[in-house]
Amino acid sequence: MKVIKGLIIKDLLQLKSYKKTLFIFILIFFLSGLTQENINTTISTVILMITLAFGMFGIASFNYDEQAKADSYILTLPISKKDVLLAKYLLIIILTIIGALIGIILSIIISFLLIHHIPNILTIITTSISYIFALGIIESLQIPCIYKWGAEKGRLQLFVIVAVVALLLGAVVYIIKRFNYISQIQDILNSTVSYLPLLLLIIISFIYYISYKVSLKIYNKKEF
Amino acid sequence: MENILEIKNLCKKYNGFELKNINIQLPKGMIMGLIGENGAGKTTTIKSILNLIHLDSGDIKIMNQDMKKNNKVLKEDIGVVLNDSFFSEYLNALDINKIMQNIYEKWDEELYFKYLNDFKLPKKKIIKEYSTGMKMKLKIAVALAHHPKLLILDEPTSGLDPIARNEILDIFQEFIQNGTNSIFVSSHITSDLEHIADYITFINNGEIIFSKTCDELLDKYGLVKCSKEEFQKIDKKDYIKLKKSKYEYDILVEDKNVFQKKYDIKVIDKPTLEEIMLIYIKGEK
Repeated sequence: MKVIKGLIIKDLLQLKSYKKTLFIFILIFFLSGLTQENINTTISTVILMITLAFGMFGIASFNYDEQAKADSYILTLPISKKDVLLAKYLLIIILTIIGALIGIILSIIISFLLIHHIPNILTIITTSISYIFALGIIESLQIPCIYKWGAEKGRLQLFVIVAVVALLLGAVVYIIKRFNYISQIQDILNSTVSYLPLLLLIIISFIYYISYKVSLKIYNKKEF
Repeated sequence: MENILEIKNLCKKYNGFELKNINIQLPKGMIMGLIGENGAGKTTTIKSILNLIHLDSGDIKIMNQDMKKNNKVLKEDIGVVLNDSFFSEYLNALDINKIMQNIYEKWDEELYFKYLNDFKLPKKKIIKEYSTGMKMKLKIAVALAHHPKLLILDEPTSGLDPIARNEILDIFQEFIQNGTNSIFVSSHITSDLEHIADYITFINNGEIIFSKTCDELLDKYGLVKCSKEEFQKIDKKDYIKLKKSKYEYDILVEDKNVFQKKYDIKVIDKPTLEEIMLIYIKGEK
């Protein structure tokens, strides 16, 4: 566990030059949030953008490693390939959660300043978790792509994969509409709404786990 | 003598390049230099030892233990310097200390800072702003600061000026002073190895040409300079290879005393490692 901590520290120290940019980004979203009229849209946008920024902040650590060819060196230290991957996944998941938490705190502050009371906290949390879920899916696709093709090249492949996923989702939506399943889906959503956040968290944990396993398979085959 | 590093029948095939049946033994307390031209297989050999690539066949043992099975434990006792790979250049020496404290069980912060001071490396400057020599010294400081028993170094002196190279060679010699620490170092700057290595292993086209003590190579081997007429009297089996130039032939012989007795040639030079390597690679039979 100690080496994983060391690797996460390495990534955070590498990313320190991004700190200012991230802070300015948060500030801009906070200030622009204050100028919006619809409080629900504001909350939703602030949480989304800040979660996204933190998630991408984590992904940026791959670029630093790739530039320095750090993985070859890291694997000469008493660190296994599993440790390297666990550290990366943990870093990205932790940063995504931190992003969502900061988003929640800021939206509460914005609400307080704009409408002088805190809106439904459960809605805020559900919104945050659904963004963590969405971003988690992208990250789960992106990380194996990076391990397979590299941080630079992996981007193109990611676009292709996201496009395929979007097409598949589009197809599902089309089928739902075409065969009039909307009311059934709404029933399901209504009956699960109270435990939807928990359900999303369980599903995304599982997706991260599958993604980790795929990355491990790719990484184990890799030569440095 | 106990070996700290043993490579047995190592084979690795790539498209267009192959490591063929590599066998190397490095006794404890010694420095072995791995020489060869660029692309000869030096880095691939080092990466094989460190488990960075998948072997087609062969065994690697460090301190009598199988490297593959005991990868993590053995790496606690190894210090590594790779020529083209390290942490991100946006980190500084202090950051590296924070990271390494969590990586090596035996990380010695005091020793690390002592090396930084000895090598005059600024602690807060990011690595990107270091000179090539400073970067190498930092890598060496990191490789030494956890009290390793074996140093594995890939081209640690390439790209450095003579002063920096000398300083680094001094560090290596100091490291083996205790009699049990050992170094396996690859370099194409053969003159560096003449100063420090006990053993020289020469690799060419993925094959080991020889693995001998440095004394044997430099004292026993001979470089005969002769004319075409003199050369025609020499039996093919009595020399290794020759290099023809406009006015004379340079002939590399394995035992200069035996050769001298047989052919009554008065002047036989002591070849440098570079000359040995050059005639082996470029010479003909």
